[in-house]
This record gives sequence, C-alpha cells and structure tokens, in this order.
Amino acid sequence: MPINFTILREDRDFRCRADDAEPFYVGRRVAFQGRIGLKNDHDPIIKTCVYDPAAYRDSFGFWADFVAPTAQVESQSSFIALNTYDRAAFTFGFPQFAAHVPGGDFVQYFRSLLERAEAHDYFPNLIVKNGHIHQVELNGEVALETDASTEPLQKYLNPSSDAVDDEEVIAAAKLIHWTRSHVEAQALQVQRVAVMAKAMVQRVDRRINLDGRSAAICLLCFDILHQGRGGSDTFPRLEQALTAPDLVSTFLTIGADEYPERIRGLKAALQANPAFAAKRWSRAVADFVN
Amino acid sequence: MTAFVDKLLETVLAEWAFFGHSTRSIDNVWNVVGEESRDPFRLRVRDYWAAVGQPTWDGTTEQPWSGAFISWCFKTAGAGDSFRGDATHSVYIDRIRRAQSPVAKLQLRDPAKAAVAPGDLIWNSRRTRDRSDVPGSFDAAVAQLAAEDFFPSHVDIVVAVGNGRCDSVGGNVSNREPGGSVTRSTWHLDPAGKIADPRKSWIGVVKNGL
Repeated sequence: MPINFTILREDRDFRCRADDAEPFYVGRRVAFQGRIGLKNDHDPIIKTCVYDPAAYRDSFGFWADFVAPTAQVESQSSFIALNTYDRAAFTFGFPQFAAHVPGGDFVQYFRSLLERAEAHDYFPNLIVKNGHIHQVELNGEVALETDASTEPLQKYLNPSSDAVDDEEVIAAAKLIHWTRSHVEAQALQVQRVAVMAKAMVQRVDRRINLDGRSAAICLLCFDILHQGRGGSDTFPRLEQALTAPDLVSTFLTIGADEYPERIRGLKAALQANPAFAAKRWSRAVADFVN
Repeated sequence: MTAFVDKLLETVLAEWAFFGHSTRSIDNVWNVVGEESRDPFRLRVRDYWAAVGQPTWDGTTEQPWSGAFISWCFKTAGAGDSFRGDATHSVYIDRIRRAQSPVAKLQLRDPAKAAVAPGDLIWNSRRTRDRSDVPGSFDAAVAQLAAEDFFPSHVDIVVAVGNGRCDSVGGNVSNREPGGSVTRSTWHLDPAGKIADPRKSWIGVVKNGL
C-alpha cells in the first residue's frame, strides 16, 4: 500500500508525516547561486542513518573502507544526505549521487531501488522498463531518463529551480523514509559507490598508471575526480603529483586552498586507517592487494 | 550434489552457452547477447514454451518466458513428475509449497534463513507496469500464494557458490536491449551463505534435493 506523505512547513524548515507516524525532518529551504532548494546537513536527522564500513566488508571487502573517507567529507557519511539546491537538481545519499547525469550514479541507484518490491510503497507509478525509469500514466509509460538526458527525471523530483516545490519535498521525504526503513536501500548506495570507485580507479590507472601505488593515492585520485576539484587539467595535475617525493602530501594540496576542511577530513581519515598505506593497487588483479 | 542436480546444471549451463554466455556481474555490469527474437534463439525459446503447453509460442511472443525456461530445464534434466512446471513462477513455486512435507525433495524456504547451493532455485518478486504491488518478503509471498494471488516474479537456478558469492542462470533475464537471453548473474552472499544482494527483493529459496 503506498505510503501517504503529508508536508508540514515551519518557516524555512520542512517536515513530513508518513501516514500517521511521527513527522520527520526533510530539509531547510536555502538559496545558492540563484537557485533555491533543500538541504539537511545541519539537522541531527542525518546522524540517524550513517554508513559504517565494517557492516559491509563481508560483501565489498576493502572497497567498503576505500569509500569511507570521501563519504565522511562529502556527507558526514549520512545515507540520507540531501541537496536539491544546486545544478544537479537532486542529490542524495552518502556518496551524493546526482540526478543530472544521464546513466549516472543517481540514475543507476534509483533504477535499482525501483526494482525492489517496496518501491510500490514509495513510487507506485514509477517502474524500470527497457533498463530506464518510466512514469506509468493512463495512456502508457513515459521515459523519465534516457541515455542522453535526465531532464524529465529532474523535473519529476524537483520541478522548479527557483522555489521549493511540494513534489520536491515529497520526493525527498520518500527517499529519506525509504532509506531509513530498509537496509537494502542503504546497501544499494554502498554497492553503487563501490562500483563507481573501482571504475574510477581503473580509469585513472589507464591514464596515469597507478599500478603499485598505495590505496591512499588511489583514494585521493578518486576523491579529487568525484568532487571535481582538480579543474579542467585534473589528469596533468595528478600525473605531475606522482613525481613528487611525498606523494600523499602533494595530492592533498590539490584543491586545498578552496576546500581546506575537506582536505583536513581526508588527511585524518587516511591516518586513522593504516590499510590505506599498506594496500597497493594491482592492475593485473584489478583490485587492491597487500 | 545428486545425479539429478549434476544433470540440471549441465542442462542449464549448456543453454547459457547456446545463448552466448550473457552475464550480469557482481558490479551490475551487463553483457547481454543472444537476441530472443532471432533464430536460432527464437526457436529455442519455442522449445521452452512447449514444456509448459504453448508449442506455438516462441521468442517473438510477448509473454515472459523465464518460467518456461525453468520448467524446460527441469524436464530436460529428467525431473519427471517431481517438478510440475508452469509459465508463471509463482504457480509452480506454490505447487512446491503445497506439496511440502519433511520428506519432500523440493523445499521452499525463507531466503533469510536458508543458505544456497548449486541446483537450488532463487526466487525474487518483480514489479511490472500492470502489477507494482508485489511481495517483498517470504512471509508476504507465502500469504499471497495461500490466497492464490499469483504475482509477477522471477527464478534463477544456482550454478556455483563460493567466496561470498553465488552464480545463477535464468531465462529472459535482461530488461534492457537486446532483450531476453539466458544470463548468468553473480550475487552477494552473507557469511552464512544466504543470498544478501540488495538488487532484488528475494522472497524464497527452493532447496533442491531431487
């Protein structure tokens, strides 16, 4: 039975009630670079559903640890971190999956969610057909995303960029509620980001040769690309950094002026887990080895 | 493994090879070949349909043929009357459920409580345009079967287990181009060997003691 979500607004803050349950926090209205949307990183709710790599080592091995530093600096490791105010239109989860990329991580994550049985409770009119998300209407199905565009999906989740829409609040509430209520929804985030991280390391390896490099260096490459702080000449900068005597310190300088807090967080996370220094990327194995 | 399970795996893996070794990896990367609507695959799907009483249907028929595939595999492997197939997975699963007894060789179990082994069937519910309210748990699935509510679902046959993963093979697996094929999928298991992959809503395991 689909869950009925009711919006409760208090000034800039939005809560939702799922059926008759206690209301829960969804987000605060914020303005950013001419856009208006929601965020929830200031609220204690994001601490109620946090990624713990230890819970996923059995399934994902070291990749569960590998993604943890980025999770921490990206979203405080919260499975329910939300941002609907920037150009991505809708960003969700501890890896901050963004809806604006065709076939990207949010799309792939959302497709997987919608194939689960409990999707009927949250998005009864969305299905995956021919590998793409469709909205079921009386006259047939309408594709919300294709290989070329996610614009209809962005509009479905966040109709306008200059206001907080009811649809936007409800979509956010549904994903927050779903993620808090079903461990499988959390596991899908972990699976998606582990796949994404491995693909990214392989991509960087092809470009600048990471074979034999420490997991710390690979993590910093992943984080730089994931955040996009390397700018338009990312790969030349990464390649140049590989020639420095102190690799980790050099990689940590990339983007350090603009994002000092993120860099401090990464440094602390790397120091806290000795596996980042001990494990090495093996191109032959396509994985980290001791 | 029993002689029957050996034969079942040989049968299933031969079909997988016939269709060109399509795969869905543990990273959910698909490599699908073997287009169901083209010969010789179209005709092979017709053989599957014949196993469930639809000898005129083939790979161009709209109906999903994954249930026919499982039924054909059990029939070809020599299950005889021990496995009464159907085009609808939940129908033959319900027959197994209704025939349940301590000595039954096919045992429907809760996937949260049963480790998987080669030859077992793994069962997940499946949302469709016509039916998006499908069960998400063993108990919910059994309740719907008891009410003769035969919902959309899918079954694969486990062909390998090890290193925290299992491989399974099923028919008409892909929901993307080029469409249905016989595909080998890899899934995460938990440390106890139970299926624990969030990509599907697992609602049952049939332990195969035939």
